[in-house]
Amino acid sequence: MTSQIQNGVTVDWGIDHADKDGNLICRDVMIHPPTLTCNTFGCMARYWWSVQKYLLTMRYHAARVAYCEKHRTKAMPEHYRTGEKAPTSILGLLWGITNFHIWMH
Amino acid sequence: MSQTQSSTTEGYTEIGKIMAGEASTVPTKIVLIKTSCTADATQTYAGITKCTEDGLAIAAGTCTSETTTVTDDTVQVTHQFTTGAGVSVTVLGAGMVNTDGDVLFMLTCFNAGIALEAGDTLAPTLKMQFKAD
Repeated sequence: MTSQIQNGVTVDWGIDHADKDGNLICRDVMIHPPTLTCNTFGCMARYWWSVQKYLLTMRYHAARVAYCEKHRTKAMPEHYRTGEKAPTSILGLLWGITNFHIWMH
Repeated sequence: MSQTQSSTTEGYTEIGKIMAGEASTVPTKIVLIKTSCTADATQTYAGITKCTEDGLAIAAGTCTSETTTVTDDTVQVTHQFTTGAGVSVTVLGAGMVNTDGDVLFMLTCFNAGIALEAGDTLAPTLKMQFKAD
């Protein structure tokens, strides 16, 4: 799992997948990794915490995109397809990931 | 599968040539990746598994400079692919390619496979930012 920043060059991306009628099936965008900007213990602890949230956020969107792709015609909340309103707390992310996996089948 | 993305070594080489005014071409095309996708700096255009299906083959996009941190510090390429009749394929990623179609500047592997069916559209927006943080 890498998001590389090398020699000052960064990358970014997003995609929209729609059906032949123009209905959005799924939107996927890059989740930017947190950056370490200080070297105090408290700051590093916050950085470690933000890395955990970053990893879970990627897992959440991976589960969300897979769910939307599998259920391309099923009625579902629009924010599942757009990725907006993604949970921001650890518990919310874990809950979302679990639900997408449960309802996948 | 979770998202990964990277600029590439062969892209840096091409950027150096562009800045030096040596034989090179700018990033104007987008390629879609299928079967397997790994995003790291060692990836090359020749080495990736490219989509060649009707409507999904490498295509010239709209290339513009955009502002992210400072004015016009980002190159952006966009294109809308339309899946051809009878085509069904799972796309795993996308890459930014030069006009000659032989250098991969950057690539991304999506959060999950995108299952395209006939008539579907896929609109990637790929960016590289050259900034001074």
